[in-house]
Amino acid sequence: METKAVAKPLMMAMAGNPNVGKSELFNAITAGHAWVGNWPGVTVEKKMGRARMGDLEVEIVDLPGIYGLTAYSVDELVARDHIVKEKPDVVIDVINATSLERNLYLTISLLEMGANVVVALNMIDLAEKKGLKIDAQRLSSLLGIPVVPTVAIERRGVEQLRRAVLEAAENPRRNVEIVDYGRDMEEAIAKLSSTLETLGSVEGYEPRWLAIKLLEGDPEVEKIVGEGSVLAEASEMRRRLEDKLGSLEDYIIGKRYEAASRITSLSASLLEAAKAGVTLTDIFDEVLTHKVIGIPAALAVLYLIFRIAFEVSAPLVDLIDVTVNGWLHDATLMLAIPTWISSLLADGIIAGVGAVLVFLPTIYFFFLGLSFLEDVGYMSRLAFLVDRAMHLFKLSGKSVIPLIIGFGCNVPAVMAARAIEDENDRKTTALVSPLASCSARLPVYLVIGGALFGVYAGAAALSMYVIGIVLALLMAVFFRKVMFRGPSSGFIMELPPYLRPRTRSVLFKAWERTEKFLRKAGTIIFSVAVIIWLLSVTGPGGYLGPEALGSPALLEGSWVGALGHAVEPVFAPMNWDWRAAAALVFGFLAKEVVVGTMGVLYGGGGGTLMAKLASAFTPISGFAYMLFVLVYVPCVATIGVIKSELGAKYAAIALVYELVLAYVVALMAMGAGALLGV
Amino acid sequence: MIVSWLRVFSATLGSLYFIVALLSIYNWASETLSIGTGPVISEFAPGDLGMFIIYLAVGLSLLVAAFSKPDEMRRVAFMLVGSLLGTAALIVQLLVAIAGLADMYVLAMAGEEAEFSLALELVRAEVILGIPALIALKFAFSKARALGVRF
Repeated sequence: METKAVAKPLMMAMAGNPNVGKSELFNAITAGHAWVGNWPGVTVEKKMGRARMGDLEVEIVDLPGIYGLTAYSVDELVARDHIVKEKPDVVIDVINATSLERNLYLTISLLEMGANVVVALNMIDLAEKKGLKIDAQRLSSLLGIPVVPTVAIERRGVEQLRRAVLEAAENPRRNVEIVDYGRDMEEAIAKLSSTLETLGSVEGYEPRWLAIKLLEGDPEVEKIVGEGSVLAEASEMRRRLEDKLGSLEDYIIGKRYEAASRITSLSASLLEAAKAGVTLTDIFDEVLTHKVIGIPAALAVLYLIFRIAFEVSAPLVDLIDVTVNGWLHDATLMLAIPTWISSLLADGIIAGVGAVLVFLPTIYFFFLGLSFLEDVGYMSRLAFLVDRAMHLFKLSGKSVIPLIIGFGCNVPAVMAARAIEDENDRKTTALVSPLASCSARLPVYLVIGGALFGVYAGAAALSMYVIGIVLALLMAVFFRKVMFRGPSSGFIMELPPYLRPRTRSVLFKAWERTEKFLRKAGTIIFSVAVIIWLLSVTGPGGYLGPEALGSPALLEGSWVGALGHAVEPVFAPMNWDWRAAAALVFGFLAKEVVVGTMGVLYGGGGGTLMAKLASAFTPISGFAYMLFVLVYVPCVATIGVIKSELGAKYAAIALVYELVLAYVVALMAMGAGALLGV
Repeated sequence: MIVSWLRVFSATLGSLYFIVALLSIYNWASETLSIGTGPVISEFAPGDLGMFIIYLAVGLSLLVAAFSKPDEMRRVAFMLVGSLLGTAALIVQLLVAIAGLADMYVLAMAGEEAEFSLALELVRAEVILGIPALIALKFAFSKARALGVRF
């Protein structure tokens, strides 16, 4: 073992159902030494980390949250492939102790694959509170593997888990025969296993697992085995067994659940006092999942989050504005350095990045609210509430999760669609989720809304979120009727018990998400701000100098002016000037850049950006501009993810349909404004 | 049983929230679409669609708690959620008021003048009705405990 550790780090994988505290445990073990990449071939986020355990260097991969190891969803396939192909030395299976039986299904699936599993029996404190007493030692002996009770959020049991992992790496324990499938099935498994052991193509795979998967008819495993005669033999066995047992897939799932149920009943007991009675979760769900009252209650909760994000963050927003865009900007211009350098710093970088940076508190507070709702357990209720409505729009209830995630960022929203099993639902959801208004668009709404709508700026911004969702639903109907015909799939979702949110977890999640925004401001927006400054102080006629930023006539002769003028006629029906048009072009890189560009193009020459926007737009042309920003092409990163998830054809479709839709919606807003005489 | 005075309390508070919801939607329509004779006590019931939904959700929940079928657990559930939402709206409004005050100082530091009235922030319905909602929340929790609800 020691020789192995010196040769290469110990490889570990962390598996578990969604919402079991896997990320907290991963962070506790790696102590923040983590990085993010992609799984090969797909754009599924791969989180990796490094830790020291005793004298050993350990590399940990955080697998996606999954319920089983089928080939139906990309997440499950990715997790399965990693365990089968990379063969981690130890797999830590994080189990939610409050839902032991359901979580054991994945444990059993992992054991059948031949993985060397250590169970982290997480949330043991909550289980005890619910009156559930779990005998970890008994559970360990029934499963044949180590079981360590943990409370990841409080770092309880983490040291014991580390020790158990090291011990398991030294003395691997596997228990592939955890499920007894009955005489007929076991005979078939044994026969197929011995045939598979002789096949070179499946060397390194657990033959019993392959045999079970072949009998299930798993298409991915059939591809791995490849050998026609073995596949024919398995098919013949399946046919014979199905005559006797019914659908083998259902039979196998049933047997695994039977095993999970038996192990649960032998290792856990519910205290007498906990058997009867209603829980606080039951009480809240009576109202919050109520088909009538549940909807206004949900909207009320979301609006309170919006108030916190927009109004409570206001002093921090103004503090950054005053400091960065006021004091720092002016102080930089007064530095005794060449004018072009002070202009690049003040009018380029500070104006561009600062225009976006001021929204950092709003975005942090927004994510704080979302993380709070997630940790409390309300987000799944929201999905449950809208399920029926989603079916009206030919979508699965699961589609609401990507749409909600899209409020934060469209990239993970498109990726979240991969958890939807039905191909048509998945593609439709991935294509429409960029219409959920991401946090990058928020600065545009706030700056234009603030300039044109005064006290109604918040309402104007909120209307973008509503319109985005309405458009997403309408486009979903369009796609399902034109491109992806067929019924939408059913919706199975666990409603976890409501939990008291842990301050550290909520703050950390919110910061993790905000940090991405901050990183963008520091990289993409910084670079674009420099490029825009350069394109503003130079033009077809040569160097114009920083004076161009303060002189509209000079600025029109710059490269940005030329670009803006080139696209301006397209937007003439909306009465947007060339600067607004140029900002849209640069916004294709990232939507935050729209405000950054405006900060540079409208910023020079004294007066605030809002005052200049108030004179450049009318309320209706400003509203149409907000609509266009909401709908038009998603950022480069989102297009990239759509290409990876669905292919180049669908990325092109997303690009074109959103451009056309944005234009039509903006035109309609102008038309409506003209009709109403606004 | 939810004692009758608690039902009366829930019914009264629910009705008040419901009336404020109607006022709020009227004020919104009046300010946005120029319908009617102009806003009515809009300092108390702001013409805001979002606030209309909050007042409505709280009002309906408390009214259901008072008038639904004789199912105690159901009544407690609606009273608990309604008063919790009312309390949350109160807390958020207090935070908004504090933020407004802080914002005024930040802008003053920068030499800008900002209009802000703490009194106006505190006479809004979610503050005035939020205090009895907080009391209702306390009663609802006590009642839930008495009914054997596991926390």
